[in-house]
Amino acid sequence: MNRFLALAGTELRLTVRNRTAAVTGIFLPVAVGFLYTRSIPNSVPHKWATVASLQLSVVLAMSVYISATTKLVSRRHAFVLKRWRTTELSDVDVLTATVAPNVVLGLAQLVMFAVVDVSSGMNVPNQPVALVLALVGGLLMVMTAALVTASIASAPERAQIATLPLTFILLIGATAVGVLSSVPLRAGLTLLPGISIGTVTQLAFSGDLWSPQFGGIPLAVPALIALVLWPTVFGVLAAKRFRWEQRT
Amino acid sequence: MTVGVDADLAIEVRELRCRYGTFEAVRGIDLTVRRGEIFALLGTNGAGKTTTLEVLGGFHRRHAGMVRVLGLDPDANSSVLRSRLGFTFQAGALLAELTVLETLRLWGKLVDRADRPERLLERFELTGRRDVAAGKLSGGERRRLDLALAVWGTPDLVILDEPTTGLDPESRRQAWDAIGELTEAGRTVLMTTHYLEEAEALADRLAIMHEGRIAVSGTLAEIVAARPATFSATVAGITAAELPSLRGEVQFEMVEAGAAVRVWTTQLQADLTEFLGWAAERGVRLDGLRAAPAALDEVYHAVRNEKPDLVAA
Repeated sequence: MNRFLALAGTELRLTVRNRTAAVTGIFLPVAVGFLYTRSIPNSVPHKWATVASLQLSVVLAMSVYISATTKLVSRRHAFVLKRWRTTELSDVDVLTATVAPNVVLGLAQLVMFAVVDVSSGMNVPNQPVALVLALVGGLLMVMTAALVTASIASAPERAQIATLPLTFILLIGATAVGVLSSVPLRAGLTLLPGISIGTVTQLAFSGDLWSPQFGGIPLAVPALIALVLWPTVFGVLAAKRFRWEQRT
Repeated sequence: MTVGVDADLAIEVRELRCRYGTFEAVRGIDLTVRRGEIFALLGTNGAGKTTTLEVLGGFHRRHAGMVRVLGLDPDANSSVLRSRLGFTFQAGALLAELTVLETLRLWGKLVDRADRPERLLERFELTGRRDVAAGKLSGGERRRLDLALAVWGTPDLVILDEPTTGLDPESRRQAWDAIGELTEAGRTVLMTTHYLEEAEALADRLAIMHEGRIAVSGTLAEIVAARPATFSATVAGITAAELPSLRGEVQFEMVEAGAAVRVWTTQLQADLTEFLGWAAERGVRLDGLRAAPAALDEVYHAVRNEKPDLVAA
């Protein structure tokens, strides 16, 4: 555990020291998150559920997913991951310690948003456990997705491009949750990564977790399935595809 | 789990094969490295040296063959094994933003072996650069820091992949001293190098790899023993037909100063005596007379040029 903390602590220091990483991984998501708090009018139905859903997606996409992917690729590019493998850290410890600071910073940002949102009038979710599930499932999803994306991206500059598709899916999905409320295909669309996180977040605020909706299926079912399915799919792909060295 | 292998061997490899997709990088090599010795693995680019080292370190799974490192199978015991190994890689593999001292301190927290950053800073003459970020070090300084990490805590086995590439002669000498100190402390070193003089200066035994196979191995003396020694001189006013009959192979070439005579022979003393006697009898002058035993570079070039008859021991 001490070794893990030593490496994770070093990575955290370096994230804060690196101006580019600090701007893209810390300040930008914070700015966007606060923008949601201030810019979404009170007339919007389920305003705070929508704000929370968007803030969660921004943090997951920008602070965790993009930052973790970029870091994994750049560490691999510099052969640093290979170096850490020569220590007594396990392979899983090397990877989680490398990206742990991104998770810590993401959680810190969410705490900041929660404080600001509550002080701005946000009501406490009716099903806080569902909110925790959305957060944990989302974190697992983007962490495993970062490993898969890092397997595809051959260089740090390409990591920025490789993360775009899932980033859009997460952000657009979270935005679309409110719009999709009347779409019959909602249950199917909820299986998509961004929509599933947004749906569970919204259900946490409404408390209607298990009330039957389209076709008698509670929306929580496909959303929760997605929160388990995607990390599993990404995890299996990462286990098969992740490379410790860049392709030569 | 320790298996029943020769306790004197730090590394034992039998029929090792390793592939990348359809490309077979290592094609059935046998290799033994004794405890306490320095073993150099030479070879052309793409010969399979780095792949072999990575298999030994448990970073790359073999496709066939038996491998034991310090009595352990690296595929099954990589985490146990890594606590006893030190590594350098061809690339620096350092966090560019960390200073030299921070790098060493972090390393001390990541491995079980105890050591002091100050000792290594001094040993590798990095004390004056302790607060400089690794990314701002010169290539030679980065290599020295890399070596410092590899020898941290004096591991049982140190695997060095081209440890002195990019070093100036003085830094290379320091690296050689550090490697020598490891064996004085009873540790084993397996290294790859492109520098033949490095292998000659450091290695107790060596092997030359080519296209995934070991073409030749043994002590330097054993390897060059099968190669003929040479002597040469320039002689004015003679023809090839006038040369004495020698056991070795004679090359005769007309040059401006006369005839350049070069002889490859496995019986240097007998042929040289015959040649000197012939010159004395005729009263001819031997300009630039030189005699030398076979050198490693000749064996290396023979391997590169795929002349197995010239390297067979």
